[in-house]
Amino acid sequence: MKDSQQSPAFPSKEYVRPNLNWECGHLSEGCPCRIGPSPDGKCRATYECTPRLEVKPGEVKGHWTCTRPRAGGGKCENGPHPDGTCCNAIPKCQPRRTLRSIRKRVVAFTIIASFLILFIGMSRNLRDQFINPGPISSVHASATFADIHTKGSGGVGSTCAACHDGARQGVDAWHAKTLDALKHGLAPAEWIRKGPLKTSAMDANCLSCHKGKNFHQPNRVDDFACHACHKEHQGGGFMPQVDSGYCTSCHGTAELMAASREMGLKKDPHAFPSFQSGGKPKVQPRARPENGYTEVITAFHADHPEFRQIRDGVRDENPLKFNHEVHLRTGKITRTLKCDDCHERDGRGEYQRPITYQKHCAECHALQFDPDTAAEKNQPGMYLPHGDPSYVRAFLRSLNIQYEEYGRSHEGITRRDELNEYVRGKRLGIEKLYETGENLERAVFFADMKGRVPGGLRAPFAGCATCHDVSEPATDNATPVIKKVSTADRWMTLGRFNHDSHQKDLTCLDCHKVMTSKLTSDLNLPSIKTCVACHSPKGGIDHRCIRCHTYHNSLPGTASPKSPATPVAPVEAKHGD
Amino acid sequence: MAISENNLASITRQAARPKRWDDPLDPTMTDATLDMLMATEPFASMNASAFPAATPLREILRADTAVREYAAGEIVLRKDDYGTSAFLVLEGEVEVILRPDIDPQLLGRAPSVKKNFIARLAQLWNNHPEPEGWSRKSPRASDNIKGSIDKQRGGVYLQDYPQIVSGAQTAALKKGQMFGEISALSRMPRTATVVASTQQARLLEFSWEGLRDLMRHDSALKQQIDRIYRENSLKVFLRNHPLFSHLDESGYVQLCEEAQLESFGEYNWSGTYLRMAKDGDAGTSANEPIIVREGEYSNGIYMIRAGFCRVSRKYGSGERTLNYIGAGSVIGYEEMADHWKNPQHEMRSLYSLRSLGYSHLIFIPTAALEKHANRNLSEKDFPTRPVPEKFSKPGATHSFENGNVPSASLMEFMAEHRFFNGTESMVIDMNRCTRCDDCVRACASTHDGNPRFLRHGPRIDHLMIANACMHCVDPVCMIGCPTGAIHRTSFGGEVVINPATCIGCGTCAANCPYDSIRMVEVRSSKGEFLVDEEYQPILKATKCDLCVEQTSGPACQNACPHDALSRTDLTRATSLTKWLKRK
Amino acid sequence: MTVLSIAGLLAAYVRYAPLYPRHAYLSGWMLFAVMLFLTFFNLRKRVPFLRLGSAACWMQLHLYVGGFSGALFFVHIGWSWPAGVFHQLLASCFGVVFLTGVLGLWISRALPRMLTVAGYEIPFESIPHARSNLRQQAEALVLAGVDGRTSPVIAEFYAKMLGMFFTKPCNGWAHLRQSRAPQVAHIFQFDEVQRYARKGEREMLDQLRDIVAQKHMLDYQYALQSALRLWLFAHIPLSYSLLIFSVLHIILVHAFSGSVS
Repeated sequence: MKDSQQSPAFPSKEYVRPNLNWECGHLSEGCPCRIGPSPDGKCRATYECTPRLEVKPGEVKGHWTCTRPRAGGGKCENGPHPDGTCCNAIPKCQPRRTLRSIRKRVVAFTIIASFLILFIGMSRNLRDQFINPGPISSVHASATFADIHTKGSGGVGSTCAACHDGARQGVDAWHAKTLDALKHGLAPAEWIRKGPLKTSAMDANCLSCHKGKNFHQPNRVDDFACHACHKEHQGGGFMPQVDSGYCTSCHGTAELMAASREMGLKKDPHAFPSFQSGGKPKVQPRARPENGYTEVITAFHADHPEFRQIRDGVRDENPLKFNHEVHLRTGKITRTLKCDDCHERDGRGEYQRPITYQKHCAECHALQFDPDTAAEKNQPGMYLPHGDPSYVRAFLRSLNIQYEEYGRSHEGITRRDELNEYVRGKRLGIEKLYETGENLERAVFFADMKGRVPGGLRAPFAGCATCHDVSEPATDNATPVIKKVSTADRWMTLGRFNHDSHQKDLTCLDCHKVMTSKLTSDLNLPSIKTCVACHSPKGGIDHRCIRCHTYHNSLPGTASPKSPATPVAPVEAKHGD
Repeated sequence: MAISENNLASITRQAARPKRWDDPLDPTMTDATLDMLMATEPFASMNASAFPAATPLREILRADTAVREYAAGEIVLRKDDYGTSAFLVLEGEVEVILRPDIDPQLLGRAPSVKKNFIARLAQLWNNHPEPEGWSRKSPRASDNIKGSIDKQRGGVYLQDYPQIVSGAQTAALKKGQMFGEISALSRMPRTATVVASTQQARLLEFSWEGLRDLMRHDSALKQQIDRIYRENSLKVFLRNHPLFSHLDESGYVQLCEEAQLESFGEYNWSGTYLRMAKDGDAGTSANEPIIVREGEYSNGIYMIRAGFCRVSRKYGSGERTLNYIGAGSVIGYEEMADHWKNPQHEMRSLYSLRSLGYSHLIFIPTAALEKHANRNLSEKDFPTRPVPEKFSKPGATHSFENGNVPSASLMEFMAEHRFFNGTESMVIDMNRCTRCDDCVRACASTHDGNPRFLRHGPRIDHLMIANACMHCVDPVCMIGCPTGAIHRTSFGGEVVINPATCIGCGTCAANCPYDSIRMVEVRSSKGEFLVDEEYQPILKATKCDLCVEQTSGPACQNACPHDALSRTDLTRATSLTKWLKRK
Repeated sequence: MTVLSIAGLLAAYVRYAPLYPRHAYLSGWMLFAVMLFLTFFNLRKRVPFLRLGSAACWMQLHLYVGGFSGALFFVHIGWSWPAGVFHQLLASCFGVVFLTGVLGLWISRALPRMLTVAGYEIPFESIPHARSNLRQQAEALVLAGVDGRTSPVIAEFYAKMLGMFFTKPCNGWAHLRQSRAPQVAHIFQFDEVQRYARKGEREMLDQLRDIVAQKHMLDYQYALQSALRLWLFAHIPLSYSLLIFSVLHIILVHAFSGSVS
């Protein structure tokens, strides 16, 4: 039949059978035999026909005829051999697999190879390396850790068994564990449960070395698993820092916060950590808020509450009188001060060293009551001792001796009578000014910046009351009471901060508005808005919870990021499990 | 007969070769019955010596006829069924129900027996590993009692027969009258339901090959059947046509007398066609019998009763095929309707009409139309146009998928290859076909491991019509089958071959114009060729059977992952274009 | 719709995943179910006689669900390629299967069109017949020669240039690249030898050219039809490997999970 397009010639009287597994080996030459290979791939070629002996009436021997069918070509030219053998033997072939059959074999082979790979991978020596989903943090991967584990477990199982019970129990227990997991911890309902991961049996393995999981706050509703926040198998080096998502998985969930609040209200307040100092950084004491810290927070820049100091309008209760504005504004004092003249950074660059009189105030505020006794190059002057008011009173009450010492050491007067003369002269000078020693004493303690003494006296110097809160003693002859100065080292104790890392593009005044601060009680701390300006997606600086907060620390904000969150206790050898 | 060792014997097995009359229509036919038949008309007046020695009259009667008894109300044949039997009334009476049609549910239509779920599932492992494995005892039907056709002889009764028939228009057939021969010989569906009306109606059932042989050798029978054919065919056809359905009985009788039945082409047109194709002449219309010539004076309308005709117009120095039309189409009506509206216009034929293959047409002259035709036919009752309106305008563009109208090149292709015959032609969109052969494999898995079509065939542009049986409207393959193994199923009309009764003569394969039937050498389960006494392989004819035994429809279409293969009805040009337009 | 669902999946992941610590289990089981469904396509093709829906419908589902599985895979591994021998093996398996699937999709869409345009259509299993046919024609032509004699030039030309060419499929990669270089090379060779041919031989050479051109067309059919079959050699076997490895993965992540000890 004529075709609109050319087609090659091929025998179209027979079906094409792509469903067979074997094809005749002669197919590649274009002449497959019509018998075809057997279903299991054996060549069945023999001869092209079965000769038939025709004995016509009257014949004795008969005549062999070819019986090749029309489909095979019809009767052959030569006819069978005289002995009845067919003259056309079909050469045997090597049957070939069809593509389909080869594909079936490739599939079978691949399946077997896969099982083989698994079998080899799961062999005892290679198993840990094979199934480990990712490198472990350097500490847990170290030889030391392996040693500790081996000692602890008595040498059972691989290091994987330090955390995973499955590794301890071996391959045959896995399927039981899997089914158990599916029924309980990993049941389908768990896959869609919100909130941080609850505590699990694996935590016991972590706690065998690490102490202090439970520290966060006593009004924690659920006990969370270690691995809720700390992910292993994320690579060598340190374990990855905790993602804010883990914090907000609890702090961002209103239901959990509400439950936590309720719990906190019911708990004994003494259960909660207090913020008293005691040899640690000085902090102005502050009560825990009634509702605890259960505001719902989803992100720092979004809904982190205003810093408590700002929000509650906390004032510095330090009795020391200090006016930042005076000290910093030019023209007000003889020397222009800068922030770091008094506020020196600590060794870690985080906060400021404590401010002391000796280092930071004495240079300008020398306690000199006699102008003639100033310090010179090689000689100290005569100054009142700073610190304890009793010492000051004692100094003043022993002025004769002090002057005598001063004369001897400073003026170089050595002869007794000259010295007495010197001292007498000094005493007369004071009496001229103050009339009595009591007045002097009173002036020293109560004189303010301008030398005004309550009760009408005037002093030519600034007395203690310039900076201190001085009050009349209870009894007549007692030392005036100076309120103990307590300059807090830290205000925001729930988070940590590093001033050095903020030094590059910011000045002190960008966050601490002290140029307008006249009162000591001014905190001069920045609002959270100042921080959010940079620590937000818009600002581009890291705004994760862990940037400022930690979970485990025994006291808030004391540990540096580089120290371990919880100390590792030495492990005693455990026998058995 | 002696055989030697150095031969093909190791891969052959002897078996009895099936012969034509291995599976008679009535195995229990006795000599007494035969004697009775030979004494009955029309056989009594037949000249027995006119029959050849190979097929004597008595043997034809023995093997190709059967005496059947029917009770009152039992349905003999149903309208629209396909059947290959004709009947002669021996005793009693039957009613032919003409109008109205009986509710098919009452007729108890039964679809072909399908494999149940287990049997279908079992194809997964039960299929023969050897190609063309034959699992029955012998390739001969009579050796396999289970494998005989016509398992179902349970009669279907028309419930409440008198009630149903009382309002209907019927015709009674009495002793000596024949019926059912039209459908049997023309391979068309039954035109009416026939029900036995008296108790103990005895009918003689003829297989159609028996009838064919009788007709071949007895001219009186041939003429009688021709006459009945013309009368009954015509009557039923005209009765149901919208142009004439308003007529009363007398008008109708007149119309019938004035109408003429014409047929063009040969009954077995495939032989001529195959010769034309070999000479490369199949594409030209030069050798096709012309019915209507373009531009000539139109003197009536032609209504196509059966077969296909090519509608064309002059184009350049050739003829451009605009459409091919089949049963139900009318040509000449447009010209007539135009003339009625504008009497000053002359009635000249708009198109040329040529017969493709064998076609029956009914010609009604203008005079009869003017008397009887319904001039107030509404647009929707308008007889089907030979050429869709969009297409008939001069200069209409003929792109491949232009709306719902196929392009000219597609039309030419269809006509040249005679593909319009197919109701389930396998059309493959070669732009989507990845040549994965999933269709062939699916066909094999539903046919005992043997595919039943070749994924190759004539192509036009990106379409291929594969060598898969098209289940033609006019299945010429059925002509000449000695045993009637190739037949139409009674419900769906699919052309199927009963492998048990096929004797492997190869007539159907030679007849098929589309190379859809292939003869295969049957083998045993061990792969040995089954050969007869002369060591010639026993063949069986095979072809696509549209998966009649499966429940999921044609497996090929179902299995194509790219929606590239479709079993499409090509008798209507629009079905193909609809499929082409799918996403 | 797939694009929408993938976009939806990714959006859901970005927004909700941090809140659900065990979302990886959900995405993992979903992925496993999806992979099983995708594998069922092959099984469905084996039972065309059961009423399980048309293969075209399954194919569409396979493509859409397959695309979705790619996104689901990324959601499951959390956008970072896993470490560890076994997990990398598993992820690589998935990657290869997915990528071969995408490649196969492209092949299945692009190559049929090219085949149709090129013409010379023939069922794959019958190609050796056609090839042998062409070879016999060519050899007969050359052996017959002109007046029964073949000049040594022609014989040498055939033996050197075309002898092997007719025995097997050639230039597979060139045909896949749609390169006409091998054909053009033959044309040049013919042009060259034509110089040394007698008059009668020129006609014979022209006929031989024709046969060579047909062989090229046949090779083109062979190359592209092979490609349409061979890509599955990577896609299907590895998908079984993937399932096997996934089963072990499921056991491991459950048995070693933090939720149990």
